[in-house]
Amino acid sequence: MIGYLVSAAIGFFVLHLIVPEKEGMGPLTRLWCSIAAGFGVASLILFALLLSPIQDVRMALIIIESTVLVCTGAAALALRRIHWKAPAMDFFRDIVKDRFALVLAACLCFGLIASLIYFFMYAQVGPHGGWDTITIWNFRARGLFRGRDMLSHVFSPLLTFDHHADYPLFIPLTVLHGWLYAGKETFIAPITVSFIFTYGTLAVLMESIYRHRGTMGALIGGCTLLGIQVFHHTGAIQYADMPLAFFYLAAVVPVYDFMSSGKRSSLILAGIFTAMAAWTKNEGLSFLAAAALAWGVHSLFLFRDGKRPLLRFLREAFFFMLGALPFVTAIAVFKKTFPIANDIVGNGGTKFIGYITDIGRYRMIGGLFTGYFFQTRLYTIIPVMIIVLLCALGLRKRSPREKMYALPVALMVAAAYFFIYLITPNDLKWQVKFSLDRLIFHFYPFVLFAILFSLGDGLEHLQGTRSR
Amino acid sequence: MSRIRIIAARLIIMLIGICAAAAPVYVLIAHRMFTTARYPYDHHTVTEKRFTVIRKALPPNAVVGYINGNSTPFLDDTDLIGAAYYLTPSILIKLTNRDAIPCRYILVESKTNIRFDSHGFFLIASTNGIRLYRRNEALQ
Repeated sequence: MIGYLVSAAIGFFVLHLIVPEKEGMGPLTRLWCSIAAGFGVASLILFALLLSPIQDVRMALIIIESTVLVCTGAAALALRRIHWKAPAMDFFRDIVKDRFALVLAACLCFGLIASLIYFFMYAQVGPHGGWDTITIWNFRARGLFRGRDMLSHVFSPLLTFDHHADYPLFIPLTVLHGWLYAGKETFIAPITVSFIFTYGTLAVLMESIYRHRGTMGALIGGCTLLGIQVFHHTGAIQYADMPLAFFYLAAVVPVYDFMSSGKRSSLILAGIFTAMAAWTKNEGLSFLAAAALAWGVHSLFLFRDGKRPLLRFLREAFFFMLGALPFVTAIAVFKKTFPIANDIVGNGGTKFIGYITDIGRYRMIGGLFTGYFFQTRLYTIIPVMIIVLLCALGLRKRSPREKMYALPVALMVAAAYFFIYLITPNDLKWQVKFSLDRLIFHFYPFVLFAILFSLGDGLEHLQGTRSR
Repeated sequence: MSRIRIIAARLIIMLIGICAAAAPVYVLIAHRMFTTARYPYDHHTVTEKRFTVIRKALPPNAVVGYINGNSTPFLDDTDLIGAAYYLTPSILIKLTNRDAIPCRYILVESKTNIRFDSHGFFLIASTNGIRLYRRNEALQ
């Protein structure tokens, strides 16, 4: 796994150059975001190498990455001080002091251990992952590994619609990256990638909530994520929905950091992870559009500091685009080089109007959505519990910007997903049945973050009684 | 905040905590991880071994056809993508008209009783349940 260590180190230095140690990020978030950003940088290098006429991609990758590692490392060490902060010890001290928090932490630890057991047992019995992993992500990685000189074959439409040849390349390239360093196709690569994003989502969610709402908020956040079956299964079967959920969360958290601190480095981070979501799956494109739109409305209409809003918006948009640009460019090059029609949008044709005006389709999608979200087999009773908790604790006072970001983004992305279901030429029931639980999960971590961020001040009172 | 609301909130949070502990255990049980009758996931490993023999007999850019139909139920569409996975980066195409086979390689189930003579195909690799034929260039 030297390849992943190299890319993680690159990510660490890049992130360190963007966000100095003293600003915002907690150590766990920094660690996981570094690994994710490093994977992103490595995937861009690899993509450029695959399109280039270079024959020995493996050697070229090792040379380029070593050079990038040395350069970013030297720059980071020269320009910024690096000192590793231990994960918040106050968090553990708070837990030990409070009996209620201790019990909750015990539940969380038990759930985490059981989750890890499931992940590794599944990795042992099903190293190829689930259906989409076989037919899309690892399939593409295999094609690129075995036939790098025949890219057009890898994206051939002859390989049935299940292949989703138009999906962006973040996951296949990250898996390929591991294989190139290892010199062979090893199951460890996709399993490692999935492991990092699965438990990274938990770590980033808990630490982000901890920074804004304290220990009790972090524990509730961790439990609400571990408390749904979809989380464990989606990670174990190596689906790209897990990295996508991670990127949605990692893109929303810096925006809230920016709202409270005003540090522009947070905007660059938001740009990086928003664009990485789009580089992972087509669904990420809708998130990119929704995030940009919501940000525009915020900057132009909701933020009043007496300065010229357009100028401020342009300045903020510049920093956001600075982070997003490399990945947006890669997506544009990929779509232009391999112009493959999407199986849903590309095949709808003249039936679009018929689909849109069919009330039955609306009813079916809406009904299945409610059914899935409140289905105990998938999401246990967590959604109901969150609603009840919201009623019990209420909402705290927030700025107009804090109120109006995550939820509108989530609604816009949900509307985009709904529209895609509406126009799908495939059997609607089949399409919804095999994807809706995962699509709901895309929002889950970042909406959870936004809800816990907004919970009433009573959240802090829950830690009031100390054990003697 | 009133004491009743605090108690109610704590109760809900405790339920969430129980869910956090129970959900992964449920997944472990539901996916039969502790029983011998779990899903036949190792199917992939077996299939991979079978297809590796065939893949080694193919050039990397081969276009491979397979025959599917009522008379020769070799692979259905589900298996097609599976076979394509193992044979990647070869391209696997479904052949519907046996009179005009548009590829140089063809994959069939061992039991399939087809006369390939008229198309000039000959066996180049065989493994448990699957055979790979190559078109004889001289007869084309």
